[in-house]
Amino acid sequence: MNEDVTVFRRELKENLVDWLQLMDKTADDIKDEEPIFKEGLGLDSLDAVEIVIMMQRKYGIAQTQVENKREIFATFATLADFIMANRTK
Amino acid sequence: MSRAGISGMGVISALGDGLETTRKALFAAEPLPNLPRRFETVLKLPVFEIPEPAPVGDAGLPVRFLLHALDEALEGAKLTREMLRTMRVGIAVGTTVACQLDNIPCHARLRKGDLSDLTPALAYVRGIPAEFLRRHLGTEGPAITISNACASGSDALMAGLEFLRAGECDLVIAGGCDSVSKVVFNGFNALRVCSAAPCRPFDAERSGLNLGDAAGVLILEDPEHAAARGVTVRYELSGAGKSADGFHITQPESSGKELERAIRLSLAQAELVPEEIEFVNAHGTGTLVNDRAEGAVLARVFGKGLRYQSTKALTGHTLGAAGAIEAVFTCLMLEEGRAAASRRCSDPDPDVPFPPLAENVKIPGNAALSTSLAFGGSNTALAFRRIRPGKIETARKPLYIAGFAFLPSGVPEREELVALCRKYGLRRPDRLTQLTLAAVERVAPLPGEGETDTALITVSSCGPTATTEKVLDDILDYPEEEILPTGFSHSVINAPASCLGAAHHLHGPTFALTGFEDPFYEAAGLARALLSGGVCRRVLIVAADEESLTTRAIETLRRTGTPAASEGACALLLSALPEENRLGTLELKLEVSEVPRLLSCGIPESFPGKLAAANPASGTELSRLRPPSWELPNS
Repeated sequence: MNEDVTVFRRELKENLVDWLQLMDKTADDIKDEEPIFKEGLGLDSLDAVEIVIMMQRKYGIAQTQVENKREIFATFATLADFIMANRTK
Repeated sequence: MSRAGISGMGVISALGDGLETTRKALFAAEPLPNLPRRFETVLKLPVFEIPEPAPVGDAGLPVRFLLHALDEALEGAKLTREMLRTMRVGIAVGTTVACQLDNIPCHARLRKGDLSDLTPALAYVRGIPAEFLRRHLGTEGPAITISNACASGSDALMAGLEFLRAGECDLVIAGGCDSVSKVVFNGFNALRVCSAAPCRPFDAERSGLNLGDAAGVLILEDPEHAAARGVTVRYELSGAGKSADGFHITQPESSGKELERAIRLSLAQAELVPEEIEFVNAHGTGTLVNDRAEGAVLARVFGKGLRYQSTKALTGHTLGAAGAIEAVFTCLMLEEGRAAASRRCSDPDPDVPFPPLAENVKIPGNAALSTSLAFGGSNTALAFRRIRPGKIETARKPLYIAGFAFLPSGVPEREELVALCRKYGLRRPDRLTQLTLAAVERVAPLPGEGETDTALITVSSCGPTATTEKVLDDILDYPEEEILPTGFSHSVINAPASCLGAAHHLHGPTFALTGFEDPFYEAAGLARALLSGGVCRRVLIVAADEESLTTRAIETLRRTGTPAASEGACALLLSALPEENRLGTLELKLEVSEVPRLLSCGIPESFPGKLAAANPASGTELSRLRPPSWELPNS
């Protein structure tokens, strides 16, 4: 994994903890290959909406780009890769 | 003591202004929602707005709707204000919008530190509906405002029923009121539950709800009490069942077992069996999840031959008013001997076990049910039936303190909070919920896991205001499509109750009370009614308020009484039976007198000390405070 990816993933983990105000988790608790929802990080459908909005606010990714694309949210790694590839800011 | 006969009703909604218009429209009209006209928005989501009644003082819109419905209900019951002042009158009102300081320009000023115009804050403090009505009518009995999200109106009726059954009141004015505000509109859009088309409850093509304005009021009193003035009562609210999923802050528990329990409780209290229920006015919001879950429960309890409808296609989802106006609709259908068709359900969802009523049908008009389901899995069912002779045998019981806790200032610290969140699997409780959780953690004994016979009453003057302020920040700083949903879902007054219920898996009835005129005392009165009526075995009351721009601004308006502490929490576990707490057996007596200094939420500052020094032989008393008065600092 190149350094950019490592740095970005770290930033995104910290952002997720901050955006979702996860009191019972730290960035270190988020594993790259773990599912984000349910059995993994335990996030729910409202968290998904929240992440989508924060992706727009922080990285300039339009909500329409991620609508109905569940595969983006499969694991933390798939989400991070999608944002890296599509961010406009 | 008293039955809850219905001696008067009043209603205003998109379906019509007044009972007679509504009575006809229920079976024929099909009003359509329009894009909001009262506030600016780019969102193309229709709502059911109704014309605004004339202003009354500085009353906000939901209270103006309420007063409009109240006038009709009092007239129908042949009651004047003078007559009310000679009776023990209780007031119970459900609302969501009227108990949230959601004035966007006011917040824009507050966050800049500009306290020059606090007129909206003053109107908010004075406009908590039940307290407003008590002042307006000059009555002196209990006045509780319940903000249990979408079940608020039904819960106000249940509280009224229990006040009467326990003999706390001669008559109860119970209802609900709400109006579509910009904050609620943006919030429900953020939750992705609004439809861009007129809503279609139970239809396969449904795509969400429409919000709506409304108010409904029912006058509840014993038929004999009404007969003394020459008023004939034909129907009564004869049973109420309430349960909590104890599962999640917004999502319902998928099996619907707690909704089923609420329905069965209401039937049992009303002495009805499912076969006697002629129709159910369902919650039926038109969202995918609600309608499917509700349909499944109705099939389980009543079988697939049940007639049911949602009236939300006609009014929209009127939130805190919904339970009250749907109670009125249910009674009107019983009176008419006709159950109305569920409108705009042309292609019933095959995943709902059986379809709602496709056309109006004749019924005997003996008994029906109305259900309400709220955010956080709070379920309420109300049973209405033709009046029967006879008395209800309940009596006011003593209250015993089974456990208590006061949260010292500066507590809880972050470490304790993280530990609590991990212990209970909660991810991000707002500050008010944190205070609530930490106070309950200090109660000994804690209510048991999975309990169904411990009721929960949360009390807050201002609610989760810091969270509401974040929602207002979002509205001021970002496009409407970018409002965060969880901020809104945590900003509702009953959010701490939902979190606490989920943490401790409490399934008993839950009420979130709010107000500025001693809501803590009112909660103790409601607890006594619930315990006297055998609705539950114990009641956990948790009062809390958090510090925010709003609470600081409001404290500058207090003209009488020293300021309340900015943050604080207190929990009391009450029991109908003498249970030992760490001070021994202690009876709590409710008195009315003035106590000057406050912890948060009207908790007298002397109460913790008084509790600690209490003598088991004489018990301890909780005094009702004289209402504070408020005015603008420069007036």
